[in-house]
Amino acid sequence: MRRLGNLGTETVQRHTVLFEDDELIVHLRFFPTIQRWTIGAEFRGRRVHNKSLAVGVLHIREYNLPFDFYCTDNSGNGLDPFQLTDFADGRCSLYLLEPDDMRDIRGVEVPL
Amino acid sequence: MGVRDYLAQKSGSERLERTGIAGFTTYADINRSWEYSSESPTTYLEDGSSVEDHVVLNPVTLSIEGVVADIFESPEPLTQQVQSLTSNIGGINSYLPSRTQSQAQRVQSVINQANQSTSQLDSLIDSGVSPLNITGDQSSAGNLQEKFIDKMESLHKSKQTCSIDMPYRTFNNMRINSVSFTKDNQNDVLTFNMTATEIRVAEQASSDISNLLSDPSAALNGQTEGETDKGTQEGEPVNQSLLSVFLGG
Repeated sequence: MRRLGNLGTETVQRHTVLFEDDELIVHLRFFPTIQRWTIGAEFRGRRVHNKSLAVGVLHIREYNLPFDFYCTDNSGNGLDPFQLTDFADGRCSLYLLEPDDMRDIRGVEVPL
Repeated sequence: MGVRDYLAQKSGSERLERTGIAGFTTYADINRSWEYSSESPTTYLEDGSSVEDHVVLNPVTLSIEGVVADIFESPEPLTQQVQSLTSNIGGINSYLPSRTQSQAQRVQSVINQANQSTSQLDSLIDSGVSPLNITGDQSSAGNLQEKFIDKMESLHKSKQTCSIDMPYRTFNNMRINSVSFTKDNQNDVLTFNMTATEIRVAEQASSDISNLLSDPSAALNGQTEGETDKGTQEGEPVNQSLLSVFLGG
């Protein structure tokens, strides 16, 4: 499991994460009118679009991908990320779950 | 009947049209039709009058009724070529330049070759070899009718479009909506009825508006910004059990 850094205050962000000898493109987007962060990912030709980020849950379980995203509220209040500065200030953290973590969760091998 | 006798016949059958369907060329006695149509919907205005200022083109539809058999006649090109070589009953040669010795020999060798080939075919036919084993498609993948059904079935299951050649026109991006087969065992032919519709696909276009609307208002909080590339990272390894993370530890 890895924590993604360099999450600034830009409303539309694109991060390239080195993952499994390949590139995982992560799209982060903030919607101020509904006060919500969304996440999308591209990996080896498969794409996930705009999943709303919430604390304490896995976001892309149904896609059967070898990774997932997990968000925590470091303030202990259990609030989902809803401000533009949540990640930059460190109130929320975003984690990338790797194939080993997915194997522990699902109990079976994950397709790479 | 040998090949030579057949070639000597004047072809009395009516001219057979060639139709290409998805690359499969059938010599078929066919009934074919295609239709262009358009609509001009009525739009009512505020004063009660109406205008019909939109013209909407409907996709082209076509239907083909054809026959696929296993043996097709293509007499004209072959007849003309072979007959011109073997049955020259006369010609006006006075205005032609006289042939050299080597030219005359070459012409004679071509004529001899054609004669030899037709003689060989005749001898094979006389000895009982079926003509089907000599000419035509020698692949072992089934006869022509079965190949045609295979082709139509694969187009149907793969949901692919194809090109269909019609007289005077070739239609691309055609989707065969329905095709029905009737096997006539008396005449050993396969009759088919087919309808096809043109497929038209919308072309998506998008443009980046961030240059036009860059931060028009602070209250928008950057919603009209373009995508910011935050670069490449590996992420920071976390030495923490997953269970503790899930339990909020």
